[in-house]
Amino acid sequence: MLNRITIGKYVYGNSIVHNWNPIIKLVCSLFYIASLFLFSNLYSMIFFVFLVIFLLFFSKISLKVYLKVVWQIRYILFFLILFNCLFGTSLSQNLVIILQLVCALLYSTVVLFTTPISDLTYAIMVLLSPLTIFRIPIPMISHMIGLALSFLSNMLVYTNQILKSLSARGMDYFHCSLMEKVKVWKLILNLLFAHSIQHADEIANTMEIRLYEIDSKRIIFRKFNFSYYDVILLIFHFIFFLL
Amino acid sequence: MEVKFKDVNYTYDKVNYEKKEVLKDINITFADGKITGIVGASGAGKTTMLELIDALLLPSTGSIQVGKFVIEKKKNIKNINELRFQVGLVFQSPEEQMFENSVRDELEMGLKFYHYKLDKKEERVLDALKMVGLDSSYLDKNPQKLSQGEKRKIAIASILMINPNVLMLDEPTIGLDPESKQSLIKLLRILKNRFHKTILIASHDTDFLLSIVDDVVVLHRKKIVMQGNKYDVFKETKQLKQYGIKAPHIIEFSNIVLNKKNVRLGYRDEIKDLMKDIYRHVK
Amino acid sequence: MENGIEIKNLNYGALFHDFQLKVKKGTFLSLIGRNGCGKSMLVKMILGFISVDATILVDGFALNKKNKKQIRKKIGVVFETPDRNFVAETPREDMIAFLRNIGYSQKEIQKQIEDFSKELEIQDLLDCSVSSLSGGEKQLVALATALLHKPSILLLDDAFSMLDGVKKEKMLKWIKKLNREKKVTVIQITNNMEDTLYGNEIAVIDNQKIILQGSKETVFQEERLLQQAGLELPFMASLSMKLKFYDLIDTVILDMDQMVNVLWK
Repeated sequence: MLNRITIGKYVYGNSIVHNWNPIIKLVCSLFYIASLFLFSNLYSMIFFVFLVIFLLFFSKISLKVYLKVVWQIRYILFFLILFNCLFGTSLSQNLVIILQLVCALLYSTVVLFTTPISDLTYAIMVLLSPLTIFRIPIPMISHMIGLALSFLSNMLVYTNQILKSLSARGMDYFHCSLMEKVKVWKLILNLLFAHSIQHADEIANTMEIRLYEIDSKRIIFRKFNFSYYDVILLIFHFIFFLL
Repeated sequence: MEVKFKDVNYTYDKVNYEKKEVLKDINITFADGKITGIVGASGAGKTTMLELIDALLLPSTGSIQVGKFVIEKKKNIKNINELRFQVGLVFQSPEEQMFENSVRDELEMGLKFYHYKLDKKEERVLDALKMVGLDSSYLDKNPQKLSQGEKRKIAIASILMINPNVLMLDEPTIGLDPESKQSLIKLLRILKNRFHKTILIASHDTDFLLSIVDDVVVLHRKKIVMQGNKYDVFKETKQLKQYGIKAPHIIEFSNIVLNKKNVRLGYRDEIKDLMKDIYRHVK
Repeated sequence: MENGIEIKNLNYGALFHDFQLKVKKGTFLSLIGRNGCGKSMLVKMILGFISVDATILVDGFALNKKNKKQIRKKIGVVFETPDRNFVAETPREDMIAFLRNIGYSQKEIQKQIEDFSKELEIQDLLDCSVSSLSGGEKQLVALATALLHKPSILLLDDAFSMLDGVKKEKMLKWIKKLNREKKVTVIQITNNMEDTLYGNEIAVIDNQKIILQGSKETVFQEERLLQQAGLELPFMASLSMKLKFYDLIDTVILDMDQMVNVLWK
């Protein structure tokens, strides 16, 4: 049964991190992860770890959740260490690798938790906007992505409902033959197809009512407070590296 | 068949973050052979209660006893279909879940899943249709092309095909015109009186509930706040209002008469009974 | 008739034949009929989503391909399926995009959203993702979005079906006020006869046309016609008709307190 009915991991909140400009967040995460893997020594790791922990606290999301995320990659970490030990890497080097992976994961998780998908797509679109030189219609594409995402979440909810309904009618997925499973999937896909067409048609109507035009730009709906804090820190960091 | 909730709590993980409590401290027994209405503001937990009974969800704590089955978090019911065979759940908008291309296939689908061998399948199909007030001409029609009311009847008929002991309806009156509502009421009466089924109806339409249920359970902010005989619950119009629920009109009227003119009209189900009281008091 | 909505000579397959409907400006009309009689279709036709063999006049202008957009700007609509009233992921985004499309400035948009969400008490819902809202919450937000651009006509297609009693009463009273004070023409399509009490006129669809239209009191006298159309009388109307039959009251009384006072003088 599909239990997740929201796409993406966005968690609603009102922390400083939540309210940062998504473009800044994206750029900073790129800076962070790049410098994270460039400075492969134990002393810089302390700095990176502190930075990420600061971020975690400021996001006001419980630490348990972050730990859960890290817990999920424990196998990868384990095998990496094992692998590296076979090649005779030192303990400190192993520690660095683990910290790099964990920090990168945590940093990107913070960004994902604190930025709604629409903001993320907006940020990606802005960053890709130089590509309009090549006549790629960025605003329209971002529109389409936004619509596709909300459509997708509607479809997920609907699919969940259908699965529940089938279970209630006796479809025991775990105890039936392959043939029956195929039949059931055929039924579900049929319904999904019909539903998506009807939904698309009516959403198109609603869009006409809301007077959407094909060229309209995507709107910025929040006053994005530019925060230079992080950018400065990382640029400073970069300079430090150059020295 | 009796349904019993014991110390049930239900919370669900909302995307690894917020634990959303939907039901808290639920202790209630739904009597066998009676019709019970579950009332509450939208989102109060009515649907969740029904889904728990059909084991579509597992309680976070506590247990639910449905006949001889016990539904608990840690226990895996071996043959869940046995439970589901006894419990029929009609969802909120069943018309969006018509799967087959003909009414006949749709009705037989229920039997297929349960591998229920039935000699006189055709007979049962016709019976189910007759019970919901549709004739055999519907057998070859495409369920997707019928009206709301007709689709809903087909949905109920397909659940009736397996003849469950417990029948649950989630908001059955949304989008139904008055005529279809009346035929639904008639159907439920037959199911209770002639077939002695235990019926649970989750709805915010108190007028509809008054005409058909025996008992009422009120959910508010995840808990059960009122329960009992329908008149006992519905007559507390002020309290119900606090819970976001509007009492049935006919009960409200009797209350106003009582409060303003100190005349005790009975609490009735239908206007024609109320008329007798009014006539007596006014003349 | 200069303003309001008029549908003339509508023929549409098996649904409508020689269908005529006139709604004067400022009326609060309840449009009723059995399931499948085509009520929702009429909404789509008025909005110009279906091209039909008929003349449709909105505020004096005959609907055609060219003026569709202009006409739609005057109309606010809440569709039957709550999900389909939303385009963006959160209600706030939807509202902002909509007002932006019309040409409101950022400041005006903020203010308008603030005002409306306060009136309808939906401030907390604005930033939730649409799929996480309950059916009733979606309907409330859809109503707010439909009224943002201050339309002169409001079309409600079963817009309160998922709201519980107290909330629904509040909303209908609010719309009644809107109709009375701001002269917004309201057409509500509903299956619940009690909803009709908040409007001032009722139109009944049966046999492919409007068979009955008029004030509430007039329509409620025609119990048999209503039953033929698959409908029934709301409680107070039904009680009034029975009391009238036994000569206990003279006219149809729709208000409970008033009825009590009349019966027990």
